[in-house]
This record gives sequence, C-alpha cells and structure tokens, in this order.
Amino acid sequence: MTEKQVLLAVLFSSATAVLAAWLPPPRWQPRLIAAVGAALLLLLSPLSACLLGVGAGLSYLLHRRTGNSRAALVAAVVVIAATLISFMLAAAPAAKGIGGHVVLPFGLAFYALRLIHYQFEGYKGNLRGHSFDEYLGYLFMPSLLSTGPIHRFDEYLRDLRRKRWDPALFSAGCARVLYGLVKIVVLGNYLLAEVLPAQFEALAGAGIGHFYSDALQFWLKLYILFSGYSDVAVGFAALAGFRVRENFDQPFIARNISDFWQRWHRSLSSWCRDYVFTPVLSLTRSQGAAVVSSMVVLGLWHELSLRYVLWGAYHGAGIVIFRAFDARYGASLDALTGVTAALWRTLATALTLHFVLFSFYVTTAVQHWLTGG
Amino acid sequence: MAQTSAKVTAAACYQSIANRGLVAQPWLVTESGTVTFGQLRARIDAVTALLQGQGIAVGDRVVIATRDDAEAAQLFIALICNGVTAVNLDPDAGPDRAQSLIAKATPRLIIIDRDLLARWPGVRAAGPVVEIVPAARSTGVFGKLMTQKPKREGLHALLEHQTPQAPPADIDPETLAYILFTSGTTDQPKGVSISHRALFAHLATLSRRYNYTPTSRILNTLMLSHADGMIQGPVIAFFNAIPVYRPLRFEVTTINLLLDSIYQLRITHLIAVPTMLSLILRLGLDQRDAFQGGDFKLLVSCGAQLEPKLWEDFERTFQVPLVNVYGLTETVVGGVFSGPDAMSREPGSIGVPEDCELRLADRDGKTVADGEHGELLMRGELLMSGYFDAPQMTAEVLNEGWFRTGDIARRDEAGRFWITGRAKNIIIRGGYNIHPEEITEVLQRHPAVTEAVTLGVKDLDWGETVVAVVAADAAVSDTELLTHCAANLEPRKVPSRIQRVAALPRGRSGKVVLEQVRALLAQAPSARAEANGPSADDSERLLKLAASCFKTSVDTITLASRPRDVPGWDSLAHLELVCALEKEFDLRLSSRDIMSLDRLDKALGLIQKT
Repeated sequence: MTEKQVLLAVLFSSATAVLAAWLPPPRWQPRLIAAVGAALLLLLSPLSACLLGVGAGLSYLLHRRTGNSRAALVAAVVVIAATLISFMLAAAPAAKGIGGHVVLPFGLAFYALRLIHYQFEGYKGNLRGHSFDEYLGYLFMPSLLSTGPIHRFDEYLRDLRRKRWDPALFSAGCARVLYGLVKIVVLGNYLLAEVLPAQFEALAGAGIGHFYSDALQFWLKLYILFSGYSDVAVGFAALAGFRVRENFDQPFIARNISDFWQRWHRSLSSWCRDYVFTPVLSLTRSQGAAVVSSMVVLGLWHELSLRYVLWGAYHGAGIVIFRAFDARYGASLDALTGVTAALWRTLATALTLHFVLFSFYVTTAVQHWLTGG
Repeated sequence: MAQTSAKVTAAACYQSIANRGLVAQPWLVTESGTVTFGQLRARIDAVTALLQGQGIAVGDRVVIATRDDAEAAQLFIALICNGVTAVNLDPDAGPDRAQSLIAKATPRLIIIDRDLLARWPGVRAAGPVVEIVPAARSTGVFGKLMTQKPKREGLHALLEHQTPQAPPADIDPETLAYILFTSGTTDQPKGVSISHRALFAHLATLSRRYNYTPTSRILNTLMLSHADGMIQGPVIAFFNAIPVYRPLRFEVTTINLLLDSIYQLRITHLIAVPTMLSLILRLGLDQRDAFQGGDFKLLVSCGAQLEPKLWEDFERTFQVPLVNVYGLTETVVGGVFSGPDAMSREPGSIGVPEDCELRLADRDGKTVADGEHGELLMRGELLMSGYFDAPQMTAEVLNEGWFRTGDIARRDEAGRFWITGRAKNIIIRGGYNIHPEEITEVLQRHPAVTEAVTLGVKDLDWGETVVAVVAADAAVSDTELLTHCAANLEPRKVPSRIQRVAALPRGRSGKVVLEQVRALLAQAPSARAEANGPSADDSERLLKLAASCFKTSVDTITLASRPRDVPGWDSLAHLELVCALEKEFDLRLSSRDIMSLDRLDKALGLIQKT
C-alpha cells in the first residue's frame, strides 16, 4: 500500500468510528469503535492486529487476576518491551532514522507504550472499574492507532462515562481535522517538499549555510507533518466525543530544553516521565540518572541504534546542565525586567532552538568519532 | 408561569404542565426510568378520579409508604393537586414507629408497598389499604415477545380503570399540602403540617433565589421522605416545569458516577448535604472538572451547618458557586440564604433571610441587642401551620406568628446571621435531624438496659454522629444492643458507638446532666469519631512543605493539587518533596508510593498510613 492509501484508510476508518461512537446504544459504542480499529489493522497489517489483540487480552487478564502485583508489572513490561525491541531489531536494516520508514507492524510503537501505561496504572491502583470492551475501545481507536498521541486510559474512560452530545467539541473536532489535513497536504507534502527546497538551496549556498538550511528544513517538515497527523487524530477523537491530550505546544518558542520536551511530542515525553523517569527516580533517588535514562529510552524508541543512544544522552545532558544552571542563576534571571529581560528571553529561545536543530549533527559527529568512521 | 409575582398554586402548576409542549419532556429521571410531564399529568388525572371514587375530599389525609421514588413523587404531587394532605413515610422506619405515625395521621387511605405491609402488620387496622405491587418484568428478548402485557395488581390496576379527571382548580391556601413526621418519640410524634400557602410561597422564593429557568436541570439524590429530597426535588421541578435527576443512591462508591452524571446530564443545580460535599472533596478529586462542563450554575448545600473550611475548600477545588440554605422542616426547607452573591455570602454564616423575617430573642421572648446571642425566631408565609394534632407542642414553638427555631444565633454588622449554638436537643447527622430521645426510648425498651441517654458527637464527615451512653447488664454485648436498635430504627439513627457506664450522672432534679456525660465520653478510650479524617495539623504541615518544595505560596496549593496545576511541581521538585516528606514525617516511601504520588492528598494518606 502506498502512503496515500494508508492515509485514506485511516481517514475512512476514523470517520466510521465517529458513527460507531454516536449511533448505537452506549453499551455497544466501545465495542464497535474497537471493531472498526481492528478492521483497519487487519487491512494494513494482520500481524499487528494479532499482536494488539493478544496484548489486549493478556494485559486485561493480568490486571484482573493479579491486580497490582509488582512481579506482574515487571513481567508485563519485559514482555512488551522485548516484543517491541525484537521487531525493531528485525526492522533495523531498512530504517533510516526519524522521519524515515521504520518497518514495524503498523502502530506497534504506539500501542506498546499504551499497554505499558495500562499495566503501570493498574499497579499504582489508579484504574477505575471497566469492562474488556471499554479497554478494547481504548486500544483500537482507529484515529490514534497510527501516530498517537499516546492517550491515557483514565482520561478515555472518563470521557466515555461522561459522553454527551457537545456541539462545541464536535465543531472544534471538524476544524481540527481540516487544519491537520491542510498541514499535511498543502504545507508538508507540497510546500515543504516541492516548492521550498529550491528556495532554501538558493538562499543557503554552500558550507555552514547548507548545513543550517538542511537542519531547518528537516525539523520544519517533521513538525508540520507530525503535528498535522496529531491534529487529525485529536480532531477525529473529538468528533467521537473524546478529549485527547495535545501532542505539540509551539515547541520552537521553548525557552529551555526542558521546556522544549514539554512542548514537543508531549504524549511521549510525559509517558517517559511517568514510566521511565519517575520509576528510575524512585529506585535510585538520582535526578541525573533518571533524566538521562528517560531521554535514552525516548531516543531508542525512535530507532535502536548508537546514534539514538547518543541523541537521547545529548538531550538528557542538556536537561541536566540546564537544571544546574537554573538552580544557580534562575532566580536572578527571572528578576530581570525591561529590555534586558526581553534580550535574555530571545537569547534563551534562540539557544534552545539551535540546541535542537543541531542535535543530529552533533550526535552523528560523536558517533563517527566513537566508531572511528 | 412559575416565576411571575402572582401567587402560583397547585392548579396553576398543573395547568402549566398540561398546556406547554412538555408532554415528552422528562420530569423525574430515576435509576429505574424516566417519568415525563405527560405521564405525571396522566397520573394526576387518574389519582383524581380514584380519590373522588373513594369519596376522599379536600383536607383528608392519605399515607404514602414506598421505596419506589417515582411512585412516591407522583402520588405526593397528585395528592397535593387535589388538596388532599400527603403523609409520605420513611420506608426504613421500624414497625412500631411506622404504625404509631399512621395511627396518628388517621388517614382515609394508605398506599403502601406490598412488602412494607408485611413488615408493618398493624397498618391494616389504621385505614383502607391499597398495595403497590411491582409489575412482573419479563426478561430477555423471547420473554418480551412471548408474554403478554403483564397483569397489573393493586394500585396500578385501580388506576388503570379510572376515567381521567382534572384536579380541582381552586384549593383554599390554608389546606394542608403535606404532613412530614420528623424524628420524635413514639408517644409524641411531631407531624410538621405545611399548608399550600407556605409550600407555594416558599417554592417561589427558592426558585427565585436559585434562579431556576426553563433550561435548569436539578440533580438531587436526597431521600424523598425528607423535605430536602422531596420539596427541593420532584416538587420544585414540577413547580418550574424542569427535570430532576436521581440517577443513583449516593454512596462512597458512587461518587465518581455522581460527578460523571453532573457533567453528562448537563446538570445546572446540585442539591447536597455537607456530608456529601465532604466525601466528594475527599474522594472525587480525579474529577475536579466535573462542574466545568459549561452548564453548572449553583451548588445548594442544605440540611446541616456547612463548616467554613469545607465550604471554601469545596468552592475553590471544584470552582462552583455555592448557596447555603438554612431552614427547618417547619419552614418548608429554607428561608435564610448565604451566597452565591457577595453580600450574603460568608462561609460559616447562614446569611440573610429572604421573604421572611428573623429576630433574636432571650428566654423571655424579648429581642436582644445587636451583636448579642439569642434564640433565632422566624416569621413569614413559609411557616408551618403547626404540629399535626398537637396544639400544646405547637404553642411551644409558634407564638404571635413567630416560630422558635431552637437555634442560638447572633447578627453581625453586615446583617448576616451566625448560628452559635443549639437550644433544642437534636443531632444532625449527615443532614438528617435525629431526636436523641427516640433512640434513648428504643434502648430503654431493651430488658437488659437500666438507663440510657443519647447524644451527638462532632464528626468530620457526618457533622455529628450518634453515641449512646448506656448502663446495662454486662452480659449483653454492644452488638446485641445495636441489633436491637437496628430492628427498631431507621439505619441512620442507629448509634455509631455505645459507651457503657455504671450509672448516668444525674442532677438534683433527677435529670441526666448532659455536660457530665460529654465529659465522660471525652475521657473514654474509644473516642473514635474524631480519628476518621486527616488531622488538620498534618495537612497544614504537608501544604507548607509542598509549597516550599514547589517554590510557591501556600495559598496557591490545596490537597487536590496535581503536578499539572502547580507550575513548580516538576520532576525535580517531586524528588525534593519525597525527600522532604520522609524527613519531616519520618517515613520511608516505597517506589510505588513515589510513583503514585500525583496529588497532595495521597501524600497525606501515606503519612497517616504509618
């Protein structure tokens, strides 16, 4: 299937799921939403449909049977992570990194994280009573299958229990889907892919300018496409009556690298905070270890490679350094007023943006240096 | 036209639900189904015909005793529309009490659940009986297809055969609308008699004060055998032609569902007692946005004193405007309001009277000077006509149009009233009034008990709990005494605790000295009532600690705060908080504790666990 066909299948099934969310009696709604999602998965990747089906059944049973046992949590996380890793290893030769075509079973990267989330929240005792149907509706919601956001089960369940016809939410959902489609089709796939590269080329010239324009184009396109897909996903969820967490919040105006990660792919970074950072912190009581390990996991989730280990560590180090800096100078910088404050804010934003823009160059250089290439 | 200044009567309300396009609109939604205004009207017409057929006329009394809320509410309104006095009994009442109340009411008809009739065998002697028999439900698709329409029995069969008739268009306003028996002893039941005048005048007051409009939607889960449940529920919904929802029984386990319902059903007004608010505040924090669905207008707190701290915490946490209503069964439900407007709102005070007058009097009935304490007297259209068939009891509280509330109050410079004490002996547990003599009476009936006295003890969740102090044969266990109480009293009146003494302290006149009993209780080792909530001290220490970790001021955080509400609660501060907690409270948190700590009240739980 071409990318366009996949997009069309996702759009079609998402629209069908909206009908499933409103037309049948409430008892049937989660069931039918799940059925539509399962049909989409079967069409795109029967293997993935089986994986998610088995994962859903096992995790639900485990939660039911063992409640909040620590051994069950560890076992579940190991099994889910091992499955994800083995598929990533198998896919590795074809992978070209972030934005490239990682050939994983469709949606696996996202639903693996949802399964882990569910198990963790069960362990923490945070899950309200729910049925298997409701859980399936959560895991198989079609618009969220392919690119997230990694929404949370408790929020989904609350929306399901509070479901009511809400014209404002519905119209916001419509607008959001259109907005996302414009981002993907017009901005991402036409302007940034067809028109602007030549302009950038002409402007940048050779040398450092070339590097600069490449990095800028790469991040811009990544942002436009990814946030566009998120808009579509969030929009369709809203049409079905669900308020899904936002994935992006103007990441390029972040004032520091910690702030950036609270604005970029937020559902992933908050997942890492809750299920890597906090557990590591609670076990080691070390801030640095927790930050670096969660950023490394965040990096490795994109691709299993030395490059991404380094990339994660780069961001982790950035956050640790920023924290130390902030502890020392934060208060006095916050106290600045007037022109100096504006200057400092501009400088901080520019610094953060460039830290992100050059992250791949730096980590690739380090990788070459390490491997002697 | 419920909101106009012209007097609205039962007949006018009946007309307005009959005329408007309300036939298919819900009036009362319960767990078991929806009653529309059309159905309510049809029921009123059928009951009218039934009453006329039985020769029951204006001013006669009819007893209702049923566990079916929809049934009780429909009958109550149908009787009122006919000028027949409704006597709605609490189905949880013990047989002795129930039978004595029914005998006191001298009803022309008793409409009662079949199984209640079996529990209260003496009822048949008090008057003609019509049974309420639940219709047999066929189950499953096949069951529904194969069986014919279920055969009706009892009340429903009777109503089916009536030729519908409109109720009378004119009822004397002094006719009694209903009699509500409040807690009291068996030989002196207190039947609060409310006239049409009082009821409809007060419904107009409440509707104006709460700003009920045709788009309002009430949620009220309080018991229909009490005024706050019935009058502030189905009756005021009928008065305003708006729906009232009773989607569930309020329990600790249904708090989440209740909050879901408020959002999902687009509720505009929630009627609640302080105990509910306290439990919601403690257990409903995951759903703090439940009132933010765009529809909610007003939270009505009634039934008991709302502690200022609970009041403010609830308003701040759930971001809802709140009105506190002060009143008694004898004043329909209210009369004195605090909030939501800035002038009358003052947490802890009962606010200012509306459509009635207040006066503070000393023992001799003379008005006290401003700022002094005195017994609170009320005057206005909302007052009861008296206690049913008890002229002496009535004379004790009603004098020259003034009603003695039995509460001690003072008035502040702004004109707001504050309850400062109680002159009458009453326990208010979770919003329900309990006369301690009623429990004492039941205890004294037990052969092993030589003497007993009952009193209320302050409690964080319930306001007060019931404690019985008993001198009894040591061979009889507390459990046995409690079982005896449970068999003869409504569940909420059963003491939470029994304290044994050798003898009760008595004064020279032979009367039990309550102050000395209280002192005895305070010394008793099992003063459990206070231990059921977080101590104020721990919460304060915790909030201070958290504020310093999050680099913010204490007033910006509450026990309900979550990381996303507090800018300073990032992962670094989280670790700081954990370490500070361990040091301050001398505990060791497990990794699960640290991970689950996503709200400050959970930290409080961890502190109290150790």
